[in-house]
Amino acid sequence: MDQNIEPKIEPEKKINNKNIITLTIVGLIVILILLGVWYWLAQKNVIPQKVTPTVAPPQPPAAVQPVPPKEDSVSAINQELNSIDLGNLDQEFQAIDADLNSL
Amino acid sequence: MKKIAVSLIVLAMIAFGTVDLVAAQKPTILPVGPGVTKEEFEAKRAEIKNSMEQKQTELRSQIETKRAQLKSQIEAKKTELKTRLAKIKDENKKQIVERIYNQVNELNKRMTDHFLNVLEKLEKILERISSRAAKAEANGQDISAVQTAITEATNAINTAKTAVQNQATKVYSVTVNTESTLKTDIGKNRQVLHNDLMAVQKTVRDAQEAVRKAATTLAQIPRVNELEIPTTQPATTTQPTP
Repeated sequence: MDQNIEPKIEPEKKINNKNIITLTIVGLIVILILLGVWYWLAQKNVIPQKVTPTVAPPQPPAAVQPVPPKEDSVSAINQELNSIDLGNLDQEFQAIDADLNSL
Repeated sequence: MKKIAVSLIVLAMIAFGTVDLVAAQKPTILPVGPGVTKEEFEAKRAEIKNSMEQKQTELRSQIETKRAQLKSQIEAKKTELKTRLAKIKDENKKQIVERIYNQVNELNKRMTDHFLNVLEKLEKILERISSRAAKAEANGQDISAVQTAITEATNAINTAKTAVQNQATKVYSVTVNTESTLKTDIGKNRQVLHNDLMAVQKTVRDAQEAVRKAATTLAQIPRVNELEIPTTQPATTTQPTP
């Protein structure tokens, strides 16, 4: 009789391990399904934007570009003449004068 | 006797050389006939511009050639200066004197180049004045006063060019007597260059004023900016045969 009551520990352990694996797999499947549902819902919620024809705002009339004066016009000639710089001799001599003063 | 003859020949050659340079630059007044077309006018203008630029290049080239020849002279004077500076004990002063010698000749080169640039600009401006005056003439305006002013400006530019050319080929030296008179001696050399450059600057300023006068005279022509050379030749009327 005593021999019949022999504990069977090994098969129980195997059953527990199997259960854990099964539960993990099921859990993963559930998570995947949930992710899939969430993704599907997210895609569904994206409302396509209506393409509304945009009316271009009325362009202001192009500013009238001032016509550059002709190169032989009096204003262009005077402008050129006034831009001529003959140079400042006293300023050009500054370096020489500085050396001269240090002698 | 021989020496005098040789000197006279050399002087004559120099004089003719200068005269030739100046004579080559005639006033840039565009000839405008009664039936000249815009194309003909522009072609003539381009031709005058090219000729002007060519002469400018020639002058620069002449100056550069002369400068290259003078380089050895500048170096020789520098060596000579070093020998004369041997009597100066202060090393710092020796260096300063050598530096001034270099600066003096460098400044002369820089300023003459600058004056030459200014004169080239003035020539271009004068060509524009001439172009505008020619357009006025083609439209029946009296441009005699402008023509006179253009001729005067051309002469003034030529005078300035000769002055610049002569100045560009000068070599300046510095005098060294004693250590105590160093400042005074070199001060005198500095003043010589200053006076020379002032004189050249005056000729350039005179040229600028002459061009300004031409521009002012041009501006007195009524509606001068609006006048253009007609694009096509005016229609000619045929006389009926009797």
